[in-house]
Amino acid sequence: MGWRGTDALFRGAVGGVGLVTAGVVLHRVDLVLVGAPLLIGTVVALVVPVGRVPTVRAGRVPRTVDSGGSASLAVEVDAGPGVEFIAVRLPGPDAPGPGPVHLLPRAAHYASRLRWDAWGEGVDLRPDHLAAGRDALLISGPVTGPEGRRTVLPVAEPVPPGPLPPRVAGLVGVHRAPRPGDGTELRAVRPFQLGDRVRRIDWRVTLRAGAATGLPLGTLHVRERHAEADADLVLALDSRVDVGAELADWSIGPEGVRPGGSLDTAVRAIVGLAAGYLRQGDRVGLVDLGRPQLGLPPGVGHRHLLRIRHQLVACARSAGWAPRPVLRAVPAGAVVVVLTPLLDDAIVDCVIGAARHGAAIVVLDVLPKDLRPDPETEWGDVVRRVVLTEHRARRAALLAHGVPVADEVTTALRRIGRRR
Amino acid sequence: MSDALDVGRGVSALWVRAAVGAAAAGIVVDLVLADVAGLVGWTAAVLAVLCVLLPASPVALLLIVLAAVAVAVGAPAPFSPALLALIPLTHALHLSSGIAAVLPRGARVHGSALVAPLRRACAIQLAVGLIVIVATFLPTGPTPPAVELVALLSSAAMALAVILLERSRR
Repeated sequence: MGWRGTDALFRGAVGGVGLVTAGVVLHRVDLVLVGAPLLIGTVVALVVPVGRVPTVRAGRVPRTVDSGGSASLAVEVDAGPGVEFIAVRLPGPDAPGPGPVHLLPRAAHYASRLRWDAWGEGVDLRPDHLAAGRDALLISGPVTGPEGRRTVLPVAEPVPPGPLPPRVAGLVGVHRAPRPGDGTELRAVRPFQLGDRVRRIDWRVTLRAGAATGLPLGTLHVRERHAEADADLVLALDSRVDVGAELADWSIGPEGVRPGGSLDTAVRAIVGLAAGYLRQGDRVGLVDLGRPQLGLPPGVGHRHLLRIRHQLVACARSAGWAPRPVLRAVPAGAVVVVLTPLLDDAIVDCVIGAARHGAAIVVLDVLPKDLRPDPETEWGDVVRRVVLTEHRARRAALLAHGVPVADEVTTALRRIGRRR
Repeated sequence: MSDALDVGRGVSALWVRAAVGAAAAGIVVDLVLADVAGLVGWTAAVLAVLCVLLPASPVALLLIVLAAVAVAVGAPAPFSPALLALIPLTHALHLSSGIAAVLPRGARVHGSALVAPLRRACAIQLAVGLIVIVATFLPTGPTPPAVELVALLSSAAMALAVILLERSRR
């Protein structure tokens, strides 16, 4: 796109020349004096050629970043000396997304800063630009810049993990298994049997037993220990609803994830739980109750945590209402933590059904605590009370079926521990 | 990259619109003080409002021409205070409208971007001030035909210069 004149050029040229000429013809010096600044300003502005069409190029920024992080952004501008203004869209420190248009003086380089406060996917950089000559008499643009899409991962703040029921098939780990093994926790002291290792013999107990019976060396006794095993933790995300504290906003679909809403809280809790248990060596899986195909089978290690964080962003991207939550493919012996705001009966039926099949389930309630009624309707408070009453009834139904419900992660961990 | 210009917050582009409004309002007040009232005064007021709302339009030019003609016709003397006030006001309206026209809604303006145009505007106003001073010392009365011819040719030359300079960018 080349240079073109603006209304200011027309005003300066036509207005300036017209007033000066009219003043000369009509012998009115006042018309000449009013037109003179416009005419002189236009000539002075056009004396310096604007040159070729300017180009604006933004520097490279990583494709995947952590929420709460920031990065510097370098913008390179190639513009001639006649260019006086560069209007370029750049992210600001307090402006989410591509940011506002900044009117800047001509420079070869600009430095800006990108901040990612909210996780999710989106466009955070699009350097639309327009160049203007002196007094904005000539402009080039506006040019729509290339979009910079980024995946902002939810930040991993590990929650101190609690005890979990171990997997039956687990061989190593930090959780006490019910079967005997080579762990450190004492299981029983019993008479020696064929197959017991000699180093397991507790000589003190053996001698005491011998003294009690009067024999020189009584029956050998061994100290039996519990085995230690890893555990499976399945984190089930209810991505079908995303609600905040304002009841009036529930019917308005947000663009992306509602900050501080139920989905945001659930995702942050999942990342925290996953980080804590994966660090301890346990296996953590992910289930999207609304879209089961987006789940991840249990896995271990740092790479799996990264996989879970990416998958959570994918779950949030396709989040939306689904009539029937699906909780399947849960490994035997795994603990399932369901993170849901408990806003419909289908989720209660789903959880109770899974509990009946023997799964160890804990529900983490992520409904915002201080629901505020819609102030624009007189039924706002009534609606709030109905929602809360139904919510309490669903919690009671879960508790009645032996499914513990917690309001926060630490409480949920304690409930998990009690289920051993 | 030590010479990079740091993009901070800047100020809202509404301040540029406010400058347009201030210059337009100043022109209207100037007309009122110059005893230009009635239809012309109301027309100027409407144009002033439209200048703020539509900076990328010929409204500013209409207001400038209207004010210049009204002051020239209504003023008793050639160098009245109303005319002397109108010169910087019309120039300010021209410049601020030009900048406001290239800024979209919600834009931010960085003060350093306005330094060069303001400096140039001050220089032009000084030059026009010198012209005013020189003009006050010139004898009044009929202008010799030769001087009139030179003045018209100068105007034509300036118009030609604008056209050539504007075309030279291609």
